[in-house]
Amino acid sequence: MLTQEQKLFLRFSCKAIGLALVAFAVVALLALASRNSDSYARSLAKKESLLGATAAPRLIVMGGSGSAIGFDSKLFKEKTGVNVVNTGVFAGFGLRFIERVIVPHVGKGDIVLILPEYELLHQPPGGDGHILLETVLENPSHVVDILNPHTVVAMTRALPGWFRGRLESIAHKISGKQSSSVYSLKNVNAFGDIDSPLLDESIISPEDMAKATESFIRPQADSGSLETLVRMTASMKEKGVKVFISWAPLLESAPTSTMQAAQSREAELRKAFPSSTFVGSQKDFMYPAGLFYDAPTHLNDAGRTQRTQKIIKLMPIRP
Amino acid sequence: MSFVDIRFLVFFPLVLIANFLTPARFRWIVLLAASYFFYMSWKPEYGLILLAITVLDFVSALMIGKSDSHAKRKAWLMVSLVGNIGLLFVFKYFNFIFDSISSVFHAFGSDTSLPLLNLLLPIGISFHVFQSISYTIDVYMRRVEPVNHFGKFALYVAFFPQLVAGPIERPKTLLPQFFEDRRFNPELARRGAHLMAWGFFKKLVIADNLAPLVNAAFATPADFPGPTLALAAALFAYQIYCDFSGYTDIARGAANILGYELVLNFNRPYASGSVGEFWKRWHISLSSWFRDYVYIPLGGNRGSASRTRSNLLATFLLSGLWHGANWTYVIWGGINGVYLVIENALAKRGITIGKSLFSVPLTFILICVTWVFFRAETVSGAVSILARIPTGIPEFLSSLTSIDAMRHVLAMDYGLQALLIGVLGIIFMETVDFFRSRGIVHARLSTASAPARYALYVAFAIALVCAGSFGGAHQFIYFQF
Repeated sequence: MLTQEQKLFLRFSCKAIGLALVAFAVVALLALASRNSDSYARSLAKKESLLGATAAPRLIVMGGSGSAIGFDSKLFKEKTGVNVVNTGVFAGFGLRFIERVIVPHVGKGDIVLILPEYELLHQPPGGDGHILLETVLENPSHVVDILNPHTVVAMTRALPGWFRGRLESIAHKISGKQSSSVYSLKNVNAFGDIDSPLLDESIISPEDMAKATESFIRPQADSGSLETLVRMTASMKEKGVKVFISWAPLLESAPTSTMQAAQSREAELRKAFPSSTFVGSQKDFMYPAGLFYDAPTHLNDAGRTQRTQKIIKLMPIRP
Repeated sequence: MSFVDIRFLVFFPLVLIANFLTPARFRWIVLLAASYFFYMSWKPEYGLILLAITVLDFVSALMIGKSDSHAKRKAWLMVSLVGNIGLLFVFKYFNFIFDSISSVFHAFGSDTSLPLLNLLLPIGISFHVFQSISYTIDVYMRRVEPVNHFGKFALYVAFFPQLVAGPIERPKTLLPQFFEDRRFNPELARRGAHLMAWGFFKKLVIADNLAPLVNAAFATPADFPGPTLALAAALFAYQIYCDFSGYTDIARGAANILGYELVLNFNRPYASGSVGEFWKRWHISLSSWFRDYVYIPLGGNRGSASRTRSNLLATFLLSGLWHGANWTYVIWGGINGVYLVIENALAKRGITIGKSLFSVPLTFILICVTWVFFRAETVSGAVSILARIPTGIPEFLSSLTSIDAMRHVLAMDYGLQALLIGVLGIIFMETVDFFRSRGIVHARLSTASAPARYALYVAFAIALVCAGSFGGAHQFIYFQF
């Protein structure tokens, strides 16, 4: 039996919980109503259907947005005759998500090229809350692949920021402002690459690029992420898949500390995998600021052509 | 764990449930356990320091209370003071003093460097040490009786809502509440919930949205013209106010929901018409602590004018040092002391400005000057910021002709949206606080119909979610003290 005091407390708690639920429901409704049919996060579904529809021999590229924007699948196919599916969407998915969602589509005879961006390795394998939230809302079928206590906390933390972003884009729509972002579903081509005429240029100054690069690379990988990478690579090899790992683009004029961090990262990866796994070394994938688009792993059109040509040259595959 | 940590959203309801499910006479155990858990979630070792302070002051006060001999009473008071201040010295001031001595050696050409300790400053140590000291001093002064219940005294020192950043409670106000039968009070709880919501608004919507610009301007002042630095100094005044008073509101609100009341710590400080008034409205629990335990024992204003002046200066210098082991804080305290000395001297000559449209902004500007020292990393950094403020005006004016230049000069690169939200938040907060101080907000809320009130609560919660800054890890500024 509850005491009079406990009844009062229960009443107060019910009111507080009720208010919180109403507020949450309003926020959730607004969030669902603001879903964007052209969201870049929806390219995940497109890439999964490409994985189902693309015939062998095929190269499956895994990574984050740096893979989506920085690999020219069409060029690769022209030069090698190998079909390509570029599955990179966001590094913020985390390696565990890639392991759960993309790896099951890979089978015997496939060739996998992993392009592990710096974030993929230095963030925990569970991924970035903001990106996971966007992914869940735009691809609800992947809820089961995402939900665990860590990601729930990460997504709850990210909810306000994500929601503010949605409000901004709604405001843009209402005011008739057209988004010039290359990151939209309509810019994802038949291979899964981001392809847009806007990629012709570099929209970040060399100074800002150097600053951004400085904070981008950490000398050590997250141990959980590295373990996940080792595990998923081993499981694919067991299935008879050829697995290669190459390197994220790096600004050639990056500060010394960044270069040292990149070297340390390369040494760490080389320790974890046999040398035959690697396609070139970090120094093969260093570029001037003019070849980047908007961020330290995002190359523009000219940059990705150079990178893809280098990968074709260094990768030991011939159709 | 702090109030803006997502774990607090789980911790606090669990504490409430456990507290109100427990029979009233055992609730102190729940709250004490919760308080130690809260504190030890930062670093488990912190619990030992807290326990050491508690045991020391509990025993000292008992011995002071038991003894009729003045010498013995004084000796036990000294044990408490030396123990508490010794702890504070080791953790907070040892490196500062030894480093300063080494700097003097270096200035005279010696390469001698004194050894430094590699200790992590326990969060909020200055707050709970001061709260605990006030107990032994009050027992010594016979203002309160020593308590025989160790657990409830331990709760007085460790009570989690105000443990890490105050308000610094006095034994007379908080300790008796733990001996009373504090039942759930719906009206007090509702007031507490309002206070908590208001505190979260101040912290997340104002303080944390202003942080990027303020941090950028103070990190690389040379990148900004004077007017932007002046703006950053003014915004820092609000950032620190909303950060600290936001914390206090959440602390007071959480205590209210649990059935306890904590003292008022802020009372619209930037509406002050003089620096003296500012210090009666800003961090009231610390100002009154220094008044009662430092300024008055030094002689207060009972001696000559010069003695009063030196007492004031000494009190403010100590207050500066209390905030942090850095010369910037000492100078911050010193400037405030000088302001008060000047104000007192002018008042003695019959020159008072009174509260006016002129005195309030003037006081705000004077206080902003001191905040530059408080926020800067070094004294030379603060001086260079102040020296730069009047210099960039032509550059600033010429930039007004180009949108791009204006964006840079006004530091819009650092998040125009966040800056605008922060500034609008300040206007909203000052307006609401103005009406709150006249009792209008409370009266309107009390008489509003339930649906209207709940609609307002939901709208406020949504606004908090939309406008709050949740991205960065912005810890409460005063935790470092």
